Amino acid sequence: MKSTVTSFLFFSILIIGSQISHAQIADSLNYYSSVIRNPTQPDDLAKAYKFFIKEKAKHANNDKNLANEIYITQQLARIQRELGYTSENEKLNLESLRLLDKIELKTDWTQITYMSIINELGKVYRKKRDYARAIALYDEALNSAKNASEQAILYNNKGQVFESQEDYETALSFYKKAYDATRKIDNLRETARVLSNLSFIKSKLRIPNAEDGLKEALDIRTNNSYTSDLGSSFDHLSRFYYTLNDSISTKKYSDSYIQLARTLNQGPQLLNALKLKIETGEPKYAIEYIKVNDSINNLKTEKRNNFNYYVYQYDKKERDLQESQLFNERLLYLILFIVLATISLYLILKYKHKKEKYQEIYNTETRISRKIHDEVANDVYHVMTQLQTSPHSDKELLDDLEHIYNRTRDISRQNSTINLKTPYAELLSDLLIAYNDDNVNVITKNLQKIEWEKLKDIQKTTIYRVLQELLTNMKKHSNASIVVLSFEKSGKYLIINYKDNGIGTSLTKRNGLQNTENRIQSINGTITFESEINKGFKAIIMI
Amino acid sequence: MFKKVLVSDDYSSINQGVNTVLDQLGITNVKQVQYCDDAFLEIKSAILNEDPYDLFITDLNFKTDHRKQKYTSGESLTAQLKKEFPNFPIIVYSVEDRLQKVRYLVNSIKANAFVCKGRDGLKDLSKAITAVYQNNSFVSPQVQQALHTRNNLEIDDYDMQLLSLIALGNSKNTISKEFKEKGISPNSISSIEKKQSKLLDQFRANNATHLISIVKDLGLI
Repeated sequence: MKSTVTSFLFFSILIIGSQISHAQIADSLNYYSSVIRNPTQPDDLAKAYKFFIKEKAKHANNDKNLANEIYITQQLARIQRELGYTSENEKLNLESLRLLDKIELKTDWTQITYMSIINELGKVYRKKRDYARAIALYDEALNSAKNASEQAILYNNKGQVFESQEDYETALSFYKKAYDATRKIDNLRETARVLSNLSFIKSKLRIPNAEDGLKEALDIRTNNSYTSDLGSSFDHLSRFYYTLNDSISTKKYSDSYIQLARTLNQGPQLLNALKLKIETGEPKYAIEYIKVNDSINNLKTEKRNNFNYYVYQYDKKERDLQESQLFNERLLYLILFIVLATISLYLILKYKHKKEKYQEIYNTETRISRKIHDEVANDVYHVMTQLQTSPHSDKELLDDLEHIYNRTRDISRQNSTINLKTPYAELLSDLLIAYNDDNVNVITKNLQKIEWEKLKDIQKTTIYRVLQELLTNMKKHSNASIVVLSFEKSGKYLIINYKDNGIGTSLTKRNGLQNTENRIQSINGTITFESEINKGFKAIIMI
Repeated sequence: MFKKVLVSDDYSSINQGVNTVLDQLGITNVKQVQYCDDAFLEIKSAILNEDPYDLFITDLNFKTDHRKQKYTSGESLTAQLKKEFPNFPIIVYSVEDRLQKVRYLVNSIKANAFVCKGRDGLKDLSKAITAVYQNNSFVSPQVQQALHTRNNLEIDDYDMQLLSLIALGNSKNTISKEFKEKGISPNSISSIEKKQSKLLDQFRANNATHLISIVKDLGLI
């Protein structure tokens, strides 16, 4: 409901908005990828993480854009690697691998991605010392290796696994294979890497020419400014000379390594260099090693803490947003409910009012019909029977007929419309005057003093009708000669006193009186009657 | 007497009564219509034919039927005719006896006469025709109050003070003095006498004592 309304209202804005966000997403992909590679702010990784998690969610259960999903998964894996969460990194890389498997059309991109995932996973397994899995992984990759370059890398990696296990013979065989592969390609960096590894293993196995190979690798790296690879050469050379007890050369290369690591300002490199120093007979570096190790660990802890903190903050923000949206939704439902309730209440009241109106119409019709029956039909029947039974004069007949005529006119008058546009005091005076004749005087007290125009129309009509009925009753039954109607304002009430000097009544409720009561009650007023036989009739109306 | 008369009423039986009256007055050129619109056209065409009507007698209420009318009541027709021909005599003859209606028709619309259909309706109509012919107006007795001032209905605080002073047995002289002292006017003996006789009329009393007994019975003092 809500979203329908929103999209309806902001349709055009949404179109523009979605275009913007498309452009933003493409930009954001690049932006956050670079942020992962080179974080500057404490919350950079968290931000990138939130972004890629969201992006990944868009691809969930949808294989339409696998390449994108793999890319995003890889970014997430890199974040985990940055934070040192190895198993998370492994999981995401395995997922990437699974997704990659789904892509039927293999391209250069899929191959490159495949290799990089294998590389990453291999590192993870080596770090975990799960050598069997690492080897299995590399073997599988070798099966699908497309060229010598890839083979060189995979063989080299395999060699490193065996080297780590101190199986130098096997390591040597793979380094050799790697070296053979590098000869088929023109990749100096890879060549230098394999050559350095190969030569170092040779030195371990006391195979000659090891020194030449190590130096050649160093030369290639130096000449081509493979600065970050230099450390490996220094390490190999220093250890090589250490086994030869050439302490000067040993120190020379280990110094170079330390210097390089300090220049590059890379913690892990420095740590390696310090380790080299300690292992090549300079234990004094142990203290610095511990310091650097601690600082690296601290840095890592801080990174993780920052990451967790900001991810939590962003989650909280989102939760708050969702909650406020939920609140808004609830508010909307509440408003909807109130509106609906109001409408139904209105309809119910209207229906009730209509019903009451029909009831009132029905009552009025019944009343009029009874009056016609009681006051007209009976009289006409009386005249008819008299005509048939006894002879009588025209005058008598005319009297009877006039009586009937007056009755009908009274009924008509009692039900005719009241023109409330006429000043009400005038209207009321005219009503009362009409009852003045040779037998009766109607006298009013303070009728002109009441501020009639402050009354509602319904009150005016009711007062008019009630006085009309009281006076009609008076004329029919009371034989009164004087009627006094006094009007009085008491607080917010209007009090009307009716009094006549007629024969009175025993106050058994006649139809007319009952009617006046109903009318007065309908405008929340009261009417009380006082009468005794021969003591006149009195009515007090309070509105 | 009027020579040519138009009668508009949707009851032909009532028209018959009207005809009898006109006949008695020696008016024979009488035309009857049953719709207000017909009446309007008849009067207009008679003027165009240079044989205009001298008098128009109309009812107020007409039953509505299938014919759509421009003028649905004698009231609106009378108003229009009096607007166009102020000197054309019109007598309204109706069961209507509400005083406001009568007052409006006679005072505002300037109908020349208002006759109530009733026992004496035909007699009144005859009187009305004669009166209108003599350039007088006529209103049936039962609605004559419509044109009178209504001050004989209301009693006010002055009347009440007067009544209570009379009830205490005060003479007119004493009352006059007391009114003067209290600054109540009118306070001359003659005006007090006038007021008292008005009260006697209103309460149908024969003398002051009778008046007080009636007023006391009614609980006014």
